[in-house]
Amino acid sequence: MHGYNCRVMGRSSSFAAMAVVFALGVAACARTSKGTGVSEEDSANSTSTPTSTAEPSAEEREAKRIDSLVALDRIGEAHTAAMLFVQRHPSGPFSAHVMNLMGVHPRPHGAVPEPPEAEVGR
Amino acid sequence: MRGLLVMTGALGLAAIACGGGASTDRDTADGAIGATSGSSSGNGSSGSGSSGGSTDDGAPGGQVGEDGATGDGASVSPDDGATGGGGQGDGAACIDSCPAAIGITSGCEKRFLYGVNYAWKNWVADFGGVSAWGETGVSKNESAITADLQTMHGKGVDVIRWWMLQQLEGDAVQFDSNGNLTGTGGTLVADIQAALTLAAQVGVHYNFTLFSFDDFAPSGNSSGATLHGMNPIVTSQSQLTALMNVVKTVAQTVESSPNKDRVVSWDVINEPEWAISDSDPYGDPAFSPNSSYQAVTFAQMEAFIAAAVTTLHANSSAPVSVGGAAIKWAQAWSHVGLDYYTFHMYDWVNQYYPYDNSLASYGVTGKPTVMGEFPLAGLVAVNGNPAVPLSTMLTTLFTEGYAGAMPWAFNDTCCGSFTTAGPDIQAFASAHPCITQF
Repeated sequence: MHGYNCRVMGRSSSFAAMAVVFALGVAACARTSKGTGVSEEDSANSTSTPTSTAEPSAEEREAKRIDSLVALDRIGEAHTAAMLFVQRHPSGPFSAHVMNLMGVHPRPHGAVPEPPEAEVGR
Repeated sequence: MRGLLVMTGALGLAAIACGGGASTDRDTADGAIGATSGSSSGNGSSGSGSSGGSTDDGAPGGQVGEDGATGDGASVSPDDGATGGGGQGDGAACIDSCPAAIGITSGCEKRFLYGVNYAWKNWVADFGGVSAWGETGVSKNESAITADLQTMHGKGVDVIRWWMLQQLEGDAVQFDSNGNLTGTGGTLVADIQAALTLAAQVGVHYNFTLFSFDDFAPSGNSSGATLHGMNPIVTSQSQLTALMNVVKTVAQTVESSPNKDRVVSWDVINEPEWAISDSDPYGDPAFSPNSSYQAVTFAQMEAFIAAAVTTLHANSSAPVSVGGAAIKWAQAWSHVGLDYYTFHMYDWVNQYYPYDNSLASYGVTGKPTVMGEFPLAGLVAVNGNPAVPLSTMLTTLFTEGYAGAMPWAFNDTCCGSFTTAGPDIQAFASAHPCITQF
């Protein structure tokens, strides 16, 4: 595992990169200061660099949650969410980011099973 | 330029053939590590027992027809069909006209395994067809697939990673009314043969990927087809044996083809880590399964993969790997007899395990390593580092000592466009013209 400095690291203007690097910073700070208890929700809230002043869409919230899960090193959950995300939003504004992030690829309808518990989008 | 030359005075031609190609010290040469096909065979039975399974579509090799014009002067003769693995088996001495310094060896050629993920034309149907969906395999879609292969080849792609049995819901693998695997069927054999013929005609090669974590989906109805999850198969010795007979049929079909040289390597399974519930005993971080799938223990997955590797080695001369999801689990497949390692790289991996760190720094040593998936679009900026375009990735992987690189994907909306990336793919091939072509 590589360490991260507790600083804002990103310089990309894109939502994707900013969300990810900021979330990474938050998660890294959480790791380096055990007991701070940064939660998924905290991290998700910290990741947002809204693309507009409007309320983020459900799709955007899902994408941010996946970023947060990665930042928290909850990779399996991120992969689960990303595969379902791509099935639901194969060509949305955040799809390319999620696919590039997790290496998930659109499958035909029905090829990706829903998880047994309602994990995604909670 | 295929470069496989029978030792009949072709030494001079071989030297000429590659004379203009080398552009770096890495390109040719020298005894550095390389996976060698067939080198680890001789292990005999995989434990899978009896031969063949019940192949509804004819015995492997029985339907080998016209092989297509190879057009490259290849002198590999059909093998004797022996299942012992261990080399090309044609008895012809050959020389490697331009061995890569670090690469994958197939036949007598050591190359930087360079290409792209296809990764399928029609999901699941390419090899065997899916009659429930009305979808057919390669043998009945030759013109469309030929066009794809030609497009890839035209951009310098040599090796195409092509998924075969990523979910058991097609006709390729047959089950009885109790859900027990009984053998192969559909157009599996004909599709493999057709794919090899097309490769010979176009001048490309394959990295056939047998399975995927997708295979661990729960059993059930899949848009009218019956999907058989692999969890109950790999956790049952008798069913695992039956599955190995499927692997055997696939490998023997390739091996008995006059175009068997078109398969330069096998990938047992794509990203099995997503279907493992616990940890390996080799010091890697715990696995983190995708909860949509029915995970097995590491020991069960390792046993399945080891059986497949053994079966492939016993029935094919091509080297074998596993498409590891990330170098995070660098040691996971270090005890299953692979000829080379394969890892995948996407943005999440790069955040934690930078793509440009040395393989040794991750503890990956002793065998060549291929980057088997990474985005055609390159990687996004992370950790204060700039985004990495495809051209930089290719060059860096090469200089860092990788033995091959295959971005994702020709026929997919993830992760970038082959059309857009085409010039970069071609530029790398042009910069290394001989060692990137088997």
